[in-house]
Amino acid sequence: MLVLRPKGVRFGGTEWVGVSRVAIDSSSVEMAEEWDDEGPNLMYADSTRRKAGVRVFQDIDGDDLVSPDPGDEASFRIEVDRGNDADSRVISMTAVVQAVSYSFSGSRAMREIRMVVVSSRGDVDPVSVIGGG
Amino acid sequence: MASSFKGQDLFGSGGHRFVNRRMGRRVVSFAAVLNDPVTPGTFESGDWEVWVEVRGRLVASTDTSLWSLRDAILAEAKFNVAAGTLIDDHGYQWVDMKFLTYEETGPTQRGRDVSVGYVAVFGRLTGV
Repeated sequence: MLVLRPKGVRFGGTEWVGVSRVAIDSSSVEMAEEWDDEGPNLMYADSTRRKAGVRVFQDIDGDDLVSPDPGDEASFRIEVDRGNDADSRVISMTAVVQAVSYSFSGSRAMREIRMVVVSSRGDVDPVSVIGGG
Repeated sequence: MASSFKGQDLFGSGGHRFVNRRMGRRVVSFAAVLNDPVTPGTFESGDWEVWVEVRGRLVASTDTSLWSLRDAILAEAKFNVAAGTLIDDHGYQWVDMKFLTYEETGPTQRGRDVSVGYVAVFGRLTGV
């Protein structure tokens, strides 16, 4: 999932302002793969261990002396507002901070926060999307 | 064609491959037989028994279904169960084979399906 210019982004009790993009990536950490004796081609694959991650890109206007620490865990909420109720969404998950880094372009500064998403149980989708249609 | 053991399709739920274990002349050292490490030499003692592995993955839609597949396999791998013919996917037959062991290669994995990797060992035992 990709959210451009979200209406609001909150990590635990903290509102993160100036967020320009939020990317939610998912990937397989482990694949079950099987071949048979009929030929060389893979004939079975399943994603058996998955991991979702979040990248938050935030424009920073001034000093940034208080940033999340790696290991911090909190509910993470993204509000998506496209001008009418039908297209509004709230994306929520429990996230753990993996890394915080800064980059610069001319006089502009950007903070990138990387997080991993955790689930209450292995069979529960860790990312929920509420609202819309 | 599907592989089978004693006419049963035990491994057809998922991909599997047949592997021949060591074949040919069996050579034994005198040191091992006499329990004397300084005794040199070796002698022939028949041929290696025919042992075949089936390596693959059982695939089911539920845990219950996976246990059904396991149970069917284990029913053939128990003590005193009769030998039978093992046939691979290309029709090659190993006659008078016993299902010796079934071992899983890791935890049951739950993704789109419920599956588990395994190694099953069959052998034609000559001493019994």
